[in-house]
Amino acid sequence: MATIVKMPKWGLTMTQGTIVDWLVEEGAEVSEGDMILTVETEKAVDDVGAPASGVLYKIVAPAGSEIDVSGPIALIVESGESLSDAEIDALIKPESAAPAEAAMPAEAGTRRERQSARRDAGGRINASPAAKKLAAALGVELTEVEATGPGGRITSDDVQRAADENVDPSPTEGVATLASGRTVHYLDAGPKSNRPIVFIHGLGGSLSSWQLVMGGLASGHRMTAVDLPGHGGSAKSAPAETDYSVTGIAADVAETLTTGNRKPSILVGHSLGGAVALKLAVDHPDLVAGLVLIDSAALGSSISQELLDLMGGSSGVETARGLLSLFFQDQKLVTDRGIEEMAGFHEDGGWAAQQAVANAAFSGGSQQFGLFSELGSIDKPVLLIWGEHDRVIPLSDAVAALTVFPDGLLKVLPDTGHVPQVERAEAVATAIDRFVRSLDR
Amino acid sequence: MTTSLPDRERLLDAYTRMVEIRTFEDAAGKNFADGLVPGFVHLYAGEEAVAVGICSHLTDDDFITSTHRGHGHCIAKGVDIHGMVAELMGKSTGVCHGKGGSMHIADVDKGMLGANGIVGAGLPLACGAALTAKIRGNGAVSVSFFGDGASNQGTFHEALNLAAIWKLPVIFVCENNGYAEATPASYAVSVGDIANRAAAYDIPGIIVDGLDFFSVYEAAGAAVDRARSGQGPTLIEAKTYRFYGHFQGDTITYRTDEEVSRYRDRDPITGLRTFLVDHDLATSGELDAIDKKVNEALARSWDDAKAAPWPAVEDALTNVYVSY
Amino acid sequence: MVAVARETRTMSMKDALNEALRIAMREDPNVILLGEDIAGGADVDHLINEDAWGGPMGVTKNLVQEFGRNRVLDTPITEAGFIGAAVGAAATGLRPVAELMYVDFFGCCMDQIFDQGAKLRYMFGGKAKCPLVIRTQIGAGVNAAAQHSGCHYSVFTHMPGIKTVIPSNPADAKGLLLSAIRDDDLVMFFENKVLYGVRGEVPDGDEGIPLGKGDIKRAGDDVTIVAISRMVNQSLTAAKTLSGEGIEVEIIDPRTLSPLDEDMILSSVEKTHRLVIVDEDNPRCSAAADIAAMVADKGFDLLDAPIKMVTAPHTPVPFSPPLEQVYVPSPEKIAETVREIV
Repeated sequence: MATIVKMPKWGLTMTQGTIVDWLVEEGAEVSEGDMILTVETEKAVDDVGAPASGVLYKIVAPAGSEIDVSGPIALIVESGESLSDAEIDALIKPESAAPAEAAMPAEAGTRRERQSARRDAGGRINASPAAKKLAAALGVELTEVEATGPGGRITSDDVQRAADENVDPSPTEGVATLASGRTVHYLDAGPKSNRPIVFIHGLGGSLSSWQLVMGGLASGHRMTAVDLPGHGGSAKSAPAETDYSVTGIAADVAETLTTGNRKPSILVGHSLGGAVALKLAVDHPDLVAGLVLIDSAALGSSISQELLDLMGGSSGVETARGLLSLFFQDQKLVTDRGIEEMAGFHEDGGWAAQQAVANAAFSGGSQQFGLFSELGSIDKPVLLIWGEHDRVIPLSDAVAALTVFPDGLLKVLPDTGHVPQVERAEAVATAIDRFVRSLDR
Repeated sequence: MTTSLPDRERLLDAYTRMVEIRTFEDAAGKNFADGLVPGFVHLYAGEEAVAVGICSHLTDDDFITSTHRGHGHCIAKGVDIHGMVAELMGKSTGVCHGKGGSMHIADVDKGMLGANGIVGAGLPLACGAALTAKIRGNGAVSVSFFGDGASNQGTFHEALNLAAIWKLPVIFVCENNGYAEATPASYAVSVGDIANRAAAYDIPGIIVDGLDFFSVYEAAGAAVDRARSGQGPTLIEAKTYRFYGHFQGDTITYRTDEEVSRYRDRDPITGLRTFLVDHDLATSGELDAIDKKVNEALARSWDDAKAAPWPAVEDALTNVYVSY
Repeated sequence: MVAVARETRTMSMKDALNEALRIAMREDPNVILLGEDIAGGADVDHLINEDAWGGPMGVTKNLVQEFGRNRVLDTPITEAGFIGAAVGAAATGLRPVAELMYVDFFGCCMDQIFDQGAKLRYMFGGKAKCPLVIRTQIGAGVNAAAQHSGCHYSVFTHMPGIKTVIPSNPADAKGLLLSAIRDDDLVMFFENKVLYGVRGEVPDGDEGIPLGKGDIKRAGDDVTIVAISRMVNQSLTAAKTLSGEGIEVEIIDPRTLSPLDEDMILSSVEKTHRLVIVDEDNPRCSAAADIAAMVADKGFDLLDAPIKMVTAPHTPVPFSPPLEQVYVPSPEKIAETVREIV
């Protein structure tokens, strides 16, 4: 059976890639994961692994080609298998367009023609109670909403439509300035959806660690990823004047989330970001519609000594290499690009801030979030995703968490380390998608 | 006569109950006037021989229904007097935790299905209690006390008919005190003797002197025996008199002083007392001691009730349903 | 929650009620029936343990054969007498099921229901209970005129101490009647005479349907219809027409009005933002008005349109067929009202 090698999607913003070079020739035996070509995007150059073992039967896109994300670039077949040209054409031709979606029944409120909202003599706009409440929540001006209700009344659907028409589904970066003056860097993406998703990375990480997963979810979900204080593109204020405990971090994230008038969100937290998500669920349950905890902190007490040793050292490339080696099960993922990006975030006070986060979280060599006694009060749907071979926070923490969240689901990813959202991005995206959709039923 | 005279012990017990009722009512009237009892109260003083004469034949397994003038029936049936005093005041220690008051005192465990604010409402209820006894075959009976006024309500006639056709073990006791509120029975009731209405339902109708314990006791014994043995209901009309008005505060302009003093001269408690002394069943001293003891106990009950807490306001919302 | 599939049989609402009574009488010897002609032919020599009628509508048919005349009691026409006796029997340990032939007759016995049975637990400080079910017939539709066609469940819903149950199909009738008989409070159970012959799937077994839980008879996103008793069927008919126009209504059958499943109604309105209440009872101080007030109070910010009530007019039920026909809310009138608010 033939496997199609496709142009990978490395980030949310990547739409196509250029093939720099093929590292193996047609007819060569390859094993799954062997690097077989080099691809360049606007932001990076990296090697691409074989998706299956077998023979690289046909290179469809030679070096120099620009190929759309997910476009076919080569075929791998089992040893001894051969394909006719017609079979090859059938495999690589673009998938026929999905049949037009069955005509959806008209949504309530759209049956009538849009018209200007009726006003009374005093200028009061005729809007329903639900419309007024939703307009206030979404920050929509009723004066700018067209009405479809009987007699020119603005309905809640009209307000929602006006708000949706203002949502830009393409990725948009932004910086929120908090009351403290600190700034939080974030990325919004995706169309409007019932349950927006908020991604919270872990210690030493940044929102870019979510790009693969967000790419997989971009067609159906509204998403926001934040850089935690002291991380990524957010402010790296001095530890002496900043609360870098999980309480302080969660407060900054909550403030960021409440500035946007968003609906209750699914919080996806990784590692220390999981502790932040749990803290938010305890302190701000109204912001939270559900929790996805990926190799999360705050569910157990033990923590990798190797991590603590590395965090206790100096910043730079070697420390970043050490951290990434610890995080990944598949060491081929410890790439120069990743090391450079992480080391870059150590600069401008980042390392001192991240050490402060680590010191607050792991004083005395164990997890110190003090959240155990409060977990039982969390009344939200929970999905746990864990790498089977996580060497930072053990899988046993996830199993133990199921006694605290008896209705929670646990997905264990085989042959995976501490960072499933990078190592198994597709599986993580699929799991999150299913989880979020299940909440609508 | 089918029922032999009660023995000394039972007579002293009946005397005690009658004194308890009288003492309770005198104190209730006084304390109502003093503002300690909210709402309104209807006093039973003068009619004690009826409640006690009937209930002397009953056990806790037998049920009674009562009227707005129900304190005497409660005491005769064994409801806790201490709790009744607190109930009159609307205190949390009342038998109904302050939710019923004078007109709704009840204790189902004592076979007391409630005083009742609706004239004539108790008769069908007593039929129901008798139906339970009949279906279970446990030999229990029920008694419905009601007044001359109630005998004009439809429920009186419906209940007598139903009890008659089903041969229910029920005794209907009409306490004819001559007045429904301010309207004389001689005006409002089409027959001179309400007992005659029993004939319409083909059941025995018996007239007794409601001011005489023995007269009531004897007729009640026969009726209860008849009911327990499956022969069906009896209507007893007890000609009696209320010493106070319809309710406390009644100006009682519809009765003459002469009439009231004529009945007070036939006070049922004095009558029983005289009988006990004349027949060497008790000395005046012994009976005085009973009077004193009852007085003291009741005084303590009032003191306790005054000191007892009001119900918690949340209790206003409970006991509407068993589950909701 | 795991749904356990149960065997079902097709039967009329009348037979489903009969089956519930039989189950309840078999499981508890304290359950007795009393009412006018619920067996019929009492004391007739050739009908010792056999009924003449089995109830004016046949709901209690054949029960006297199994349980005898000591537990299936024909009463005289004496509503205050036998309803009062049922209250007294309930207060002293039995679980009577009384049949008030038509709800319109409540005027003859209301004191025994609302002043005695409904209040005794409260007046006695919780020291008594009244596990009594009063089954009664409601509804227009058979030209029975003003004194045999009313609904009046609103009157009883108004009164504390009474639970009100109004089934709309055979399965609900069986499950709700079983729960009503097992319940320790006074339950008024309203049977729409037009529904007695309507057939439906009825689960085997003796499982009750909890009182206070509504049922979504049809799911939809556009408008919530709360429909009571026969009005559920009228609304389902209207729903078909509306669906053809692209309007999907959600039909909630509250099944009990006291207690009322407020959460189910509010959750639905949260989705649809529109509410129509369909009620065959008269409109003033009615169940419809009560539900409208509840949603206006607790769900004001959910609403995109005024709450509409489709009810009988504020008149007694007329006799003449064309007049009675306009008295009962029709599918056309329901559909027309829904269209007004979308």
